[in-house]
Amino acid sequence: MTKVYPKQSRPALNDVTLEVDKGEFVFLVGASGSGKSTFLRLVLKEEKASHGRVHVAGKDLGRLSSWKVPGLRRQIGTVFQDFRLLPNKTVTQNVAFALEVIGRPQAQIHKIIPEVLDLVGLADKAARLPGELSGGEQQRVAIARAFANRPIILLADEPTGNLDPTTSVGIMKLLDRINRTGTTVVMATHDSQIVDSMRRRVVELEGGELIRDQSRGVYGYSN
Amino acid sequence: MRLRFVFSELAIGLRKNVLMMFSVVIITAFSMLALGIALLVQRQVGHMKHYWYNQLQVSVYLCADHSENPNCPTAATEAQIADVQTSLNALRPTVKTIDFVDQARAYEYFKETFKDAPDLVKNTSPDALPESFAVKLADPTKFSVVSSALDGKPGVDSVQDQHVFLKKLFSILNTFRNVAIVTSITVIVAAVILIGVAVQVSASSRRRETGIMRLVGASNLYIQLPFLLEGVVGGFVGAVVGFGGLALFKLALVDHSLRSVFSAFGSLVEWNDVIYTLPFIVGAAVLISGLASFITLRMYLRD
Repeated sequence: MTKVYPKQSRPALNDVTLEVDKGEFVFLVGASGSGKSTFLRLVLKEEKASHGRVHVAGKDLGRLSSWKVPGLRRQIGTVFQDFRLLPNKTVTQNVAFALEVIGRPQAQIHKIIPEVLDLVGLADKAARLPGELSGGEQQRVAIARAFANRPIILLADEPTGNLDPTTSVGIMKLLDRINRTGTTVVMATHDSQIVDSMRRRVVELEGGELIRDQSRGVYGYSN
Repeated sequence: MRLRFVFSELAIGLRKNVLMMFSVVIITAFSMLALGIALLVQRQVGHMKHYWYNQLQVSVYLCADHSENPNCPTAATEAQIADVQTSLNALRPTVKTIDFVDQARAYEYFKETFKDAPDLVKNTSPDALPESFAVKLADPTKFSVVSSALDGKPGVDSVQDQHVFLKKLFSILNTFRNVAIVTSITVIVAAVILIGVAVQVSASSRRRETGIMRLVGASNLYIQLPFLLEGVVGGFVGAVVGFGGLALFKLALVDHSLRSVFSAFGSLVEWNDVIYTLPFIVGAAVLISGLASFITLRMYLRD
């Protein structure tokens, strides 16, 4: 697929062909501006491919009518570098919010939240506000929110970008555990240590081109 | 659709945006007050037409003593009166009824019409009032048939048609109504813009929330409904306040001031006329605010 943003001559993604199987764990690496975020935005249908086709969870996004986009996004969990939590809501409320707005019944929400907070290891901090948590804990809340609706795909855009190495390891363990439940995880990252230690599939982009696709890869050839 | 969620989001939005909402309510109230006044004037014209078209008559005034009209050297004679009567009879069926008003009855009408001016009544003797034929027409607009047949006939002082006077009154009322409509439209345009801005401010102040909602797959309806309702609530409250203003207008201006002046011209608008405007005012305000919010959200909260 190719994505050209309006008013820009150089494509953000240039004729990239990539297939990710169900249940895979893929690192998306490359410098800033290499097209990692554009790739994730195409998967979420926040952007439309200029050429080529994007298939996600069995759907051809080019043919997906706009009213079906929310349904697609319910199958995809998303985590960002900056957590994107609601500062005036507690941990529980932040997770509940994501379920409430897609119309899940209150009874289900009450059942899901303890489970998912337990999974991310924040069961004892359910009543805290994001401001009272460390960065790593905030990212765990964000992951809990992304995973609460049991998505089949989890997209993570530099989830450890704001965290120290020790905390990052904890987050990666959590993403690994989520991957083991059968969830496909696609993670864009700059963090060579993490990529090298995990030894998963690595897809490298440079200037919008796919330059490497390696199973059990490392961050860069030089390493 | 979980209404509890929508309403709790709506409540948060209204609380955060209270000043904006206050101005939306004020401006919508004024636009709806102007619309209500326009509707009331329209009703008033309707009442008067109904009242007058039943009462409307052409008066054929006969010569009285001391008339200044050169056509009236003396008071109309018995023969002249009979002649006028014959001419009127010949005009049936355009002429529906013919009623001779002698001086005694003219004086009764005079006393009734000027009951608020007792000095005038006291200084006028029945002799000074001319006799007349009160003629009702099958079609009140066919006045000229009577005037052309009787103007200048011996013993006829003048032929007066109340329709001419009513036309002037109606044109004043219509002008008043048009001013109210133009005012209303102008203020409605301002209200639409303000509602759009208010909804946009509200949506922008919760961009974080709507961003997450879009990301986790909330439907557009879910995302937009609280903001849409915010605009509609503002419009609705504005309409209710505007209607209150209209009720005040009826009490203060119509009942207090206009009634004494205009009572001679037929019935004035009543409370049922004021109530009649309510569905229009509320409907217009809800429609306008809903549309303004919807279009703003369409442009602003794209997916």
